[in-house]
Amino acid sequence: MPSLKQTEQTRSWSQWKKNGEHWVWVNASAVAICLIMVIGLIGLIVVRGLGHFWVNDVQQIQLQNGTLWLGEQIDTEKSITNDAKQKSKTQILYKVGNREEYSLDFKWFDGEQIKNTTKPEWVAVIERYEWGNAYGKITNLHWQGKTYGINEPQALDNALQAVQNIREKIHTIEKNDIGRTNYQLNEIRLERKKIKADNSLNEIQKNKFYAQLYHKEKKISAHYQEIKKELDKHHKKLEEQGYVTFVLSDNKSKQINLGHIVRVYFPNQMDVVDRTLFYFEKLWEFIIEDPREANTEGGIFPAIFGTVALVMLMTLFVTPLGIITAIYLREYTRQGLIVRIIRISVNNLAGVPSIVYGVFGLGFFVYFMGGSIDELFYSFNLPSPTFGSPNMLWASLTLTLLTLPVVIVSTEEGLNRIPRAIREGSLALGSTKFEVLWRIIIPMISPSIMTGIILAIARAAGEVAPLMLVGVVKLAPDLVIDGNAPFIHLDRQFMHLGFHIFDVGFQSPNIEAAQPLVYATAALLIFIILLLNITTIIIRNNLREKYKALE
Amino acid sequence: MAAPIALTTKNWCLKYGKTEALKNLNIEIPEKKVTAFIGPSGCGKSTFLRCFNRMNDLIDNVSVEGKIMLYDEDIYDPRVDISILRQSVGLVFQKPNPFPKSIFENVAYGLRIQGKKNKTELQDTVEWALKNANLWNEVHNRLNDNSLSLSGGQQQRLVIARAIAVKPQVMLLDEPTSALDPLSTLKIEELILQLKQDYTVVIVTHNMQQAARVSDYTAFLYLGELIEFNETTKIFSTPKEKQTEDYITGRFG
Repeated sequence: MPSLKQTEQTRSWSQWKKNGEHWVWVNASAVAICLIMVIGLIGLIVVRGLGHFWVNDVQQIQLQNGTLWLGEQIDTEKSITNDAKQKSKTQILYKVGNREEYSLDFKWFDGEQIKNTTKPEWVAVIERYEWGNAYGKITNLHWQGKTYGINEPQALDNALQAVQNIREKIHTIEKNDIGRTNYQLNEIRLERKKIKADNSLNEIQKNKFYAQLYHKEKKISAHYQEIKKELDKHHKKLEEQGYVTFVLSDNKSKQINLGHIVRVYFPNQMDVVDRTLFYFEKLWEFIIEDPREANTEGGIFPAIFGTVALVMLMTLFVTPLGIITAIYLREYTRQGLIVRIIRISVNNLAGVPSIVYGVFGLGFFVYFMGGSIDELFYSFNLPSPTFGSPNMLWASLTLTLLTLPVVIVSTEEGLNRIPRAIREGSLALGSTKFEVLWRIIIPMISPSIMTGIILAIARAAGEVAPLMLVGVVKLAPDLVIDGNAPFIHLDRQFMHLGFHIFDVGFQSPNIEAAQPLVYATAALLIFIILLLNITTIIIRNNLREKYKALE
Repeated sequence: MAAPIALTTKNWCLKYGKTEALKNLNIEIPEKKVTAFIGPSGCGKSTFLRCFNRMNDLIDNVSVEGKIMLYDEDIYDPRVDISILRQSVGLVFQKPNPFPKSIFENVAYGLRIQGKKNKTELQDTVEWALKNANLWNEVHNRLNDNSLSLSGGQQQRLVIARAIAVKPQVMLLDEPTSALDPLSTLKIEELILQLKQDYTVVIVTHNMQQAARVSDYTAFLYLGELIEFNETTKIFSTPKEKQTEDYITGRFG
């Protein structure tokens, strides 16, 4: 009897091949490559993006010629020279701030020029609402008529807190009261146009309405003037708070108005705990604030809000439409050539480049549908469009069209998987076809529907190209949902994280400042898509548990 | 046959496209008795059974001829409401097919379809149906559990409970035990014997012993034809036809 043990021969290459081990290795490497790519991508974005908010030391750079600079080291590069004999030079990028003095925030220094660098404790960074950061030395503070020296840091904190309070008041007034009155005045303007265009009214009636509107407008205007006065008072107060005397690296002295300061910090004095706290403060600001300075400073809240609102609205449209279509295709039509053609067309729609949907959305939704709505209901406001311009509604409908195939296909697959026995069991109890669908089948396919929605969200949240045609803009501080009745304004344009990446990355005048924001915004976009997906996946898994199909 | 007749077929024929599946069947199924259909695979007994609550309507290319009477009503009359028919003629399938809902909701399903919403009425009926299906003792403390957590035999009794909850006149059982283990089979058989006190039961079975054990009448079908129909004792002891004798003694089939 031959031995069952492996011999030298059977352990050979051919045996290895026979067992298919080489294929196992190929597969494993393919998986490994995918993993490395995904981890690399997310790692790069997260490190570059979220690293942006970390406080770096500010260095004092002394050049060979004696001049002094202050700045944060951002990047080092070896420049390639044409001359082979000359050794390659190192160039170092510093963020030197003080844009109003040096015209650029960033400056390249030749490695050879730098004599030495130090990290003096006295360096202060002043974040301003305009002109970016200022780096330098605070010599003294003038606040409400008194002068404080640098040995009284508490005074600076108090002053900044007071400024902050005034600023918050201004912000509340601007955002709520001014916003509301502007909205109301605009409504009156539209109302007046409407009356003017209404042919069923005679002159006397019109004049009566005009008088009413005039009265109303007067009241609101008076209110507006009051608010404006109040606002001006606060602004004046803000300006009069005082100033910080500040010495730049080249010994030039400046005064910075307290009202223009976001915050002041001393990076070289901060320890790890301070820096961590500061990091989260900056990150939080990035998430909840409106953008400043051509989107290169401040936060991106409107973009986050726009993205989430767009995706939610799209889900709201695409889910019922997809389910109804799939049910009709699968359950009610006779399966024949036409249905097969429809099904193939639907599947192929999923492969159409998204910009094509954008073009379609612009032509059909914006110009045709929006234009028709304007003509029918808002003709008094023409030639300025109401729904006939790119906005949230048309953008979400365009995305609905884009993601519809995914929902239809996965719903149909769910319908295919329902065992015949379940349908017959329900019919045998005397239910009609509709009752079977409504009470048994739709609950049972709900996990498949959710799978479709997950895929739809993943696709829609990342789309930028079609949105540029149908509603996204660079800056839209008015959110789609706000406190003015009717609260939801789908006729507004909106900001979007995907477009924000494009805008900050490619349209920004300040490239070096924008670059980390591109990564940070990308990281946030990934995070939000992840969050949306995880939510739907949890819902799906619950449904799956509940409606386990018969095995 | 002293008992009144529940179901009657007259010259019943059924075609799938052009293939004749059932040929000229005439049978009178007595009330509150168990009638078994036996015959080799493909002889049309399941198809025949499904004619009694018009489940064959679901298949596209089926055409039928003849008459089926439930008491004195022609069930293929175009004026018949299929929902009402199916509520009076219940069907239990070969494989248990509970809905992915709770035990309670499964049994209450037929009642909800009828539009009944009264909670106490639903509860009472569910309890009554589960008791009649000999399942109450096993599930009464977990009525809200998913029905798919039950064993196969329990699921089949649940499906029977679901069918009797709508209080039908006739119960059709299509090989109700072929997917079950012997012990569960025994329980279902006991249940069938109990059911015949209130319902007319028609059962399709492959299992000769089962037919002998539970049925009062037996019909032997072969290639879409009714070969013999008689009291079970007579069929099994003194079959008139040679084919019947061959089949029940296991010479073919």
